[in-house]
Amino acid sequence: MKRKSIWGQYLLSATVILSLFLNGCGLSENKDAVKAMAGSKEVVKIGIGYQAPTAQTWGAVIIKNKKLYEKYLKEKFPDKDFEIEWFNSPSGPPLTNNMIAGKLQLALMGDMPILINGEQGQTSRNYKSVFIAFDGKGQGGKNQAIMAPKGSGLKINDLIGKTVSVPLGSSSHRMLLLALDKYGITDKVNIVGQDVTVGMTNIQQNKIAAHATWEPYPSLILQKDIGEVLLDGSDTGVDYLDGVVADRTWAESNHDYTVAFLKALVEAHKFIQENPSEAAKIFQEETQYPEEVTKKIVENVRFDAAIYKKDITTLAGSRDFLVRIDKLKQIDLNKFIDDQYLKEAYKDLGESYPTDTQLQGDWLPLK
Amino acid sequence: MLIQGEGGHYNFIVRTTRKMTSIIIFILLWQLLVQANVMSPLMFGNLPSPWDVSKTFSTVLTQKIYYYHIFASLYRIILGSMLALPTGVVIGLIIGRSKLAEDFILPILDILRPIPQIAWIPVAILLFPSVEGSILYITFLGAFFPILINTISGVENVSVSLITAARSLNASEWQLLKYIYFPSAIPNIFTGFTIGVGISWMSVVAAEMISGKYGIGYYTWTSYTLMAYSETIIGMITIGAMGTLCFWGIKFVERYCLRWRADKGG
Repeated sequence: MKRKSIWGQYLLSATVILSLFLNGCGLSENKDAVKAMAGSKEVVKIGIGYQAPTAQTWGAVIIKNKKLYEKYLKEKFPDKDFEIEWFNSPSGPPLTNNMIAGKLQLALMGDMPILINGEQGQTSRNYKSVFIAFDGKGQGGKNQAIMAPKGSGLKINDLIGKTVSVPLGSSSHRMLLLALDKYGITDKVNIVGQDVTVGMTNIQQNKIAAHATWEPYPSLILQKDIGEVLLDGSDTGVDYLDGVVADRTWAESNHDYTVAFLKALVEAHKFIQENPSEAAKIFQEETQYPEEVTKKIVENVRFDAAIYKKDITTLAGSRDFLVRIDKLKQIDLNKFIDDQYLKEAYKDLGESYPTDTQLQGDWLPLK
Repeated sequence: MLIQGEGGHYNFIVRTTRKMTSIIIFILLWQLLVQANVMSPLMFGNLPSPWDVSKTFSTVLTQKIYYYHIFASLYRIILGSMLALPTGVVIGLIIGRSKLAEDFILPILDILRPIPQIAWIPVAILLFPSVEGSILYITFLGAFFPILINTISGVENVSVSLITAARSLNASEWQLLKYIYFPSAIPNIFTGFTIGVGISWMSVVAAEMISGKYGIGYYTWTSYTLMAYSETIIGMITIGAMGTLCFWGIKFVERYCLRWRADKGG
C-alpha cells in the first residue's frame, strides 16, 4: 500500500512537470490572448511565408517592407488589429510543412513546391490548399541558369561524362533535364542532388562541373566572380514561375483577407515596375543580397500576378515532370487553381485584369 | 585541487596566460593557412581569414539585430533546458527506481535518443501549434536525453551502505528518494545538465533553420544562403562563445550547490 502511494506521488509530479512543459510551449499564444483582451480591438494574426533565397518570391518582400498588406486590411477592417508574421524560409518544403500545421496561411514559393503543396491539399485529411496568384515569372526559363566554375569555359556538350548538381525536384531540375534533352545528352550526364548553397560552394571550389540553380544565385555567383554561366535557362523556352498558395479553409472563411493580400501583391508589382531602383534597394535591405544582384532581379523578373492559360500549361508540364521523377502522384490543377480572389483584387483596385481572350494568349506587356 | 593550494594566485596567472596563448596560436595558424592559400590536404584557402572575419565582426557588433539574434537563441535554450531539467530528472528517477517503468519507458526513449535534432524538424512543425513551440521542442530534446541518462545512472549507483542504513532506520520509499537517491544523483544531474545545455546549443542551427526570423542559428544559416562566409563564421563563433558562457555559468552554480563535496575532500 505504502509503495503504491509513493508511485502516485511520482506520477503526480510527472504530470505537473509535463503540464508545465506543455504550458510553456503555449506561452506565446497565451501572451497574445492577454494582449488581445487588454485592447478592445480584435487582433487577427496572419502568417505569411516567403523565401529570401528565391528571387521570384520577392514580391512578398515589398509587401513586407512597405506594410502593404496591413494597409489594405486596415482599409477594409478599421475595427480590427492585424499582426502579420513574416516567415523567411530557406526553401519551399518547410513552408508547406508549416501550412499543414496551420502556422502559415499564405506562402510564396516556386512552381514545384506549389504543386507538392497542392497535392498535399488534395490528399490530406486536415489540410486543403488553393493557388491564388503568381508572383515572379521568368520568360522562357529566364532567371535560372546552369553555372560552371570560373574560367572552366565549359559548353553544354562538355558535360558528357561529368557530374552536375541541382536541387532535385526543383524548377531548375526540370530546366536542366530540358536543356540536356535538347542537346540529347541526358543519359551521358551524371545528375546529383545538392542544395543551392552546397552546389555554389562546390562551384566556387571547382569540385563539380556545373550546378543548375535559380535567381538570385546565378547573379550572386557572377557578382562574386566565382563562376560563369554555362547555359541560360531561357535556352529551354519553358517559363519559370513562382506564386502564392493559400490555406483553402482559411481563404474561404476569410475571403476579404485573401483579397486584401492580393491587392497588396498587385500594388507591390506595380511599385517594382514604376520604381525599379527603389525596389532594388528594398530587396537589398530585406534579403541582404548585394544591390548589384537585386538590380538585376528587378530588371529580369516579370512580377505579374495574372494567371494566363499558358501558365497553367506550364504548371501541368511541371506536374508531369514531378510525376515522372516520382515526386508527385497526382493533382487536379483545375481544382487547385482559383483566380476569383485575384480578379476581385484587381476590380477593387480599379485595375483591369486581362480579359478572358487575353488570358488565352501571350503575356501582355506590363503597364 | 592542487592549484588551490600554495601559490594558487601565481598558478592562476600562469594558466590563464597559457590558455590565452593557445587561442592566439589557433587564430594565428588560421590566418597563416588562409593567407598562404593552402589548398592541400585541406582547402584552407577557401576560408575567410580571421582578419576578414574580425573586420566584418566589428560592423556586426554595432548592429542591434545581432544582439537580438543572440537573445532569441539564449531565451530558447534557457527555456528548453529548464523544461528538460525537471522532466529528465523526474523520468530518470522513476526509471532508476522502478524496473516496471524502465521496461515500459526506456525502450521508447532509447529509440528516440539517437535521432538527430535536424531530423525532428518536419515532425516538430506538424506537432506544435506555434513556430516557437517547435523550436523549443528541439532545444528541449538536446538537453533532455543527457539529463535523463545521467539521472538514471546516478540513481543506480547510489552507495549500497547508505540505502542499507536508511532502510534499517525504517525509511519509507519517499524518504529514500528524497534523502538518499535524489541528493546522491545531484552531481550526475549537473553533469547531464552541463552536457545537455551544450547539445542544446549544438542544435540551435537545426532548430532555428525553421525560426523564420530571429536567432543566432537562423543568422548563421541565412548567412550561408547569402554565401557570406565571414558572417557564417561569426555565427559559429557566437554559438561557441555562448555555449562556453553557459558551461561556465552552470559550473559556477554546480560548485555553489555542491559545496559539501569539496568539504568531503572530493
